[in-house]
Amino acid sequence: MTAQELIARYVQAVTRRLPARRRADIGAELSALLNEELAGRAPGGEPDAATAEALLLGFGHPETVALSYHRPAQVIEAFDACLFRKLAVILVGALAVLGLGVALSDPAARSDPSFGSRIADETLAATLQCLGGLLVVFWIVGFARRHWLRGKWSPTALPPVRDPAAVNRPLMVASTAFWSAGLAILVVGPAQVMAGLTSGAAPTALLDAFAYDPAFAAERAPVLWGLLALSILVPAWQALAGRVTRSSRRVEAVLTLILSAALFQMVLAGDVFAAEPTNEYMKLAMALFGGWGLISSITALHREWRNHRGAVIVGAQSAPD
Amino acid sequence: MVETDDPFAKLELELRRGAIVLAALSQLTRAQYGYSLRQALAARGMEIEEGTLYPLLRRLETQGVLVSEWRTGEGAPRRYYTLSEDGQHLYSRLSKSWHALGAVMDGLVTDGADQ
Repeated sequence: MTAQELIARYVQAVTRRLPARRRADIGAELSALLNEELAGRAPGGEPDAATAEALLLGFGHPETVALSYHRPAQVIEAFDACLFRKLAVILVGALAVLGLGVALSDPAARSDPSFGSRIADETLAATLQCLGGLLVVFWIVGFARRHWLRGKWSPTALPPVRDPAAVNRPLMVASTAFWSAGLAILVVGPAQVMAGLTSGAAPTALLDAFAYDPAFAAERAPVLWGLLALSILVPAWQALAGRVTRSSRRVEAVLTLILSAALFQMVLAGDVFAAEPTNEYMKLAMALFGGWGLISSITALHREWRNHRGAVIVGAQSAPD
Repeated sequence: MVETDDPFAKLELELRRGAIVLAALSQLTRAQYGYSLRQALAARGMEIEEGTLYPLLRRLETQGVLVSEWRTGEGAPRRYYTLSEDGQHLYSRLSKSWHALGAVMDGLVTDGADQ
């Protein structure tokens, strides 16, 4: 390969990463400059490929050089990347569990040989759609922030520094009441609650849509209600104590981990509601909550373990010999 | 664009990075093309890597600090850059800032050496 061919390849590698309207102009200049540099390294003679290669290696990776010419607009802002990653993992995990749950529990799986591949295709399509939607949401939020929301700001308008152990009692009480009411509806049964509230005037189709699957109601529901009740007791305990203690944090993390595992197990084990699509939506919600809980509880437990290890090391270092 | 783990090299690179724009502007009161500018800077002891300088010229042009044109003389066509009207004002202001900063830094570094 000649020196000229190397330069031509390099210029192409740089310019194809630039906006189309700037490619020809920057390419011509870059080519001219590289040739001048090359001639400067071989005064009076014909530069060889090795000299050209050394020059291009020193110039930098084509991607780095292209980035020096233009900064492409960010799709996800750097400080949003962590949240995006977390949400993406939860979404992908939840949809995978849901897809697996349908494949394992649907009666059609036994009679239709193509059922598994169809579910896999549908799960993959849904996953890609969700990730695409998530990407668009993050891009819109980032765009809005850069163009409109980062205008005027005042240091006094910034939120106060939060004490991580402090508890917002009214909020905790309200949250406990809200989740307790939700749990009560689940225990009684959404269909029964609706029938009660409408004095039996609710349409039968609506009641049927929210009727539990008999196997779920008899076997799995009591376990789930019990775990949910325990999970609700933790914020109630924190509201009463007025502070988040280390013990309550650990209990909360362990309970969330167990609840997440139980939610996944129930999604995989069978139907929740007797009718579709209520059953599918409920299982998706359970898988999403399970994914969120799994990630947050593992993160919390890892943090606790790190803090504990740090305290042990500090204690060992400060202990008298 | 040489990446290095040596702290001195890294910090020196940071120091030089701040000075590169002013160094380039100082030589563009008359029209120059990229290679001749790099040679002119190198001749005065300011070595700047090609991969840093050439894209910088484009960015300064996009910001309105420089203007450029293709010239076809005896040799190959070359793109010449020179300070725009705004660039001249900017260069004048940056030069003053540089002198003031230099005086402050001299004082600080001398104090640091005396202590």
